[in-house]
Amino acid sequence: MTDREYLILRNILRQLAEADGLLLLALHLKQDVEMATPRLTSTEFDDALASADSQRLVTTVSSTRGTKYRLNDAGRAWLSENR
Amino acid sequence: MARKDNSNSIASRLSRIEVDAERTAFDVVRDWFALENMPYETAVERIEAEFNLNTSTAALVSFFQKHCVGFKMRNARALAAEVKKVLAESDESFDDASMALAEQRAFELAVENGGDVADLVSLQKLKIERIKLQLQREKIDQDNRRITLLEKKAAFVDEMKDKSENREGGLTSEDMEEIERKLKLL
Repeated sequence: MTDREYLILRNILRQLAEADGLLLLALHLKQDVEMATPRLTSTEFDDALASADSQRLVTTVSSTRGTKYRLNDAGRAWLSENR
Repeated sequence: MARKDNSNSIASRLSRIEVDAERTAFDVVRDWFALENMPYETAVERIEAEFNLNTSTAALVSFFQKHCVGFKMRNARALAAEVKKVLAESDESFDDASMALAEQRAFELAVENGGDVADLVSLQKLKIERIKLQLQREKIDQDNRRITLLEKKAAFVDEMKDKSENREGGLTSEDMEEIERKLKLL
């Protein structure tokens, strides 16, 4: 994982941590991660989110309004080790 | 634990500028990002124009990460919790799943609108409307009770009128006592 990938993943998980157990739509998550990560591209964001999902750091829920994400216990543990 | 801002950081410099009795430039800029999703380039220009402070996009990225992310989500969470509370206090019986769903939807709406204060105002209006409805319902109940009493009085008067018309000598002393007793009760 490059420093940039690490930064994006951390920003995604931090954002989800602030939702405090509530689900966040990918669209809204992206908006705030973009603000926290200068020059973030859509591909970078999608890759980081897919990586978080494949590492089981987030819980994914599909809905009619789009895919929603929530930080799970593994994600919280990752964040506390990567402050 | 969050690190304290450097006294020369944009957050510290904005905090020293009072906009009104309750708000500093810090609150204003935080609202620009958290509520209006203002782009950094625009914010740099407006901070210079309105507060006469020079800053950079990089400094504002740091400002956003430190002060805006939590603020926006806190607002949205507070709104969602408020909606859940209103539902829990309402007369309708909502089960836990419905309330969790409503909380989740309110949270999404709040995030969508940047935890907009207008939403909170709408919520307060909703609460006030609920109270108004409750008062109206109580007034209707009172009116209904009053109408029932008036109807009873009218029926009793009619009954006594019939008695007096159909009986020789009019009402007896027992009838008069009954009238007095019932009128006191009604």
